[in-house]
Amino acid sequence: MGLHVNYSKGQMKIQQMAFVLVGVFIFFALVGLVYVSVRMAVLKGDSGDLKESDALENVRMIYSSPEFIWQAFDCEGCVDLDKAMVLKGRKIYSNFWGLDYLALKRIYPQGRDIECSEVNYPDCSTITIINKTTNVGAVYGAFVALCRWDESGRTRCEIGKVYSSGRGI
Amino acid sequence: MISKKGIEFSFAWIFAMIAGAVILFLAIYAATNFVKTERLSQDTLAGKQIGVILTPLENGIASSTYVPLKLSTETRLYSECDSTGSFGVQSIRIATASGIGKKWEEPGAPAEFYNKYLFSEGPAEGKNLFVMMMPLNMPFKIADLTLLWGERKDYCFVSPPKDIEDTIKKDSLFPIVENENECSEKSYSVCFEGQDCDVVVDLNAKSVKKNGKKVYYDNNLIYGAILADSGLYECQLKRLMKRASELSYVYLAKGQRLNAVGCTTNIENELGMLGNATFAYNSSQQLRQISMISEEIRRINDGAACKLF
Repeated sequence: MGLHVNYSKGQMKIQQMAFVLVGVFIFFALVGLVYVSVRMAVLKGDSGDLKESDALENVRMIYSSPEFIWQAFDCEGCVDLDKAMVLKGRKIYSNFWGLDYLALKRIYPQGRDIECSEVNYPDCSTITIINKTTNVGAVYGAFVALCRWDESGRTRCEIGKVYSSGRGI
Repeated sequence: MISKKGIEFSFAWIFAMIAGAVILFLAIYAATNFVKTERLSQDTLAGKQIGVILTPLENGIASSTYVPLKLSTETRLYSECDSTGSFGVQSIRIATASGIGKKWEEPGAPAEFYNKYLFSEGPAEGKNLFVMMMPLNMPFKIADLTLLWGERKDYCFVSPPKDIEDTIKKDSLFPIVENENECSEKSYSVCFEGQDCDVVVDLNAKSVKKNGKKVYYDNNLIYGAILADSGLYECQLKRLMKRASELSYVYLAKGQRLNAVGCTTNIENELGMLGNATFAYNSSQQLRQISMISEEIRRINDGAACKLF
């Protein structure tokens, strides 16, 4: 013998409406969730684009930054290698350009492919100034002239590249 | 007979109307909030974009660059300065005008830059903003100064000296007149010979008086002193001096490196003095002393075999 319940017409209508209301709210909640996730994805993309363009502009213009500029004579695109070597040891600059990675590498003439230190400079190839994480994302490079005074008191400029990776917002 | 005819509202109708009203209210509330959040996120991105756009305008040693920024909507750019920390921080905040809700909402989250120095008065406002980049050399390059103003604010230069006249005329930045009366009522008058103008520049004392406050300048800083609020100017100068102090030590270390390879510069003492003076910097009144040290460094460096800069 099963349980038998008698619902009035009014009660049925209330139930129907309650179901419709719950349905409407769930629908709007889902629409909201989809909107938020799409917006978050777009924002993340925009932030990534900005990070990339920031790194790109920085790598293009780093030679004009006072910390790198070669000022002994007017030289567009010349980086002062001696100053860069000093900067390598100065932690105070780690956040200064808003970069996760910044390094200079000598391309020509090819020397020993090792990181520069106080002991082996200038007989080395790479000066890593900022290296915050192992996963730095896209690294951009631009050609520059790496200039310094050599042992005979003459200016020596070599072909090099500056590499950088930006930091997000 | 009283008519008993009327509109009968069944329970279903009342329920539907109440539920409909609640749903409509929630939808309007959500839409308004979405619009606000959208504006905030767009303004925050725009702040960072402006900063990124300014990077390629930075120069080498001597030249200055003038660029009008044409924006798609009317914009307010807020420049904020914090001189605490190793180099201080430049914050850029953007608010864009909107046809929905209030015309101007609160600006977006600040985009922070450690290597930028914006000089402006209040928020720069308009569909067109104007940017002038100038290098600051004391005596080596310290930074690129970013002068910023909107189309709503104009400056009128009354009989400026030749070098300033040339800079202004090169890009037709501001009107140059012979007499203050020739300036339009909307514009700030800038005088150089003690007249009663909105901005008074004393070329001998190297000072600028604006809104009753006097600040001091050296070389290209004159433009920053004319265009910026005195508070913002002093704050940016503190940040610039912090950078100058660090750069002094970088050049000092470079000098020691050159000495080690037999190329003496004899400039270490003065660089140490400049580093200490800029490190202890507190107000623009100290600029004269710093300027004297930097001139001495320039003189020694010009005669050195291996120039530091």
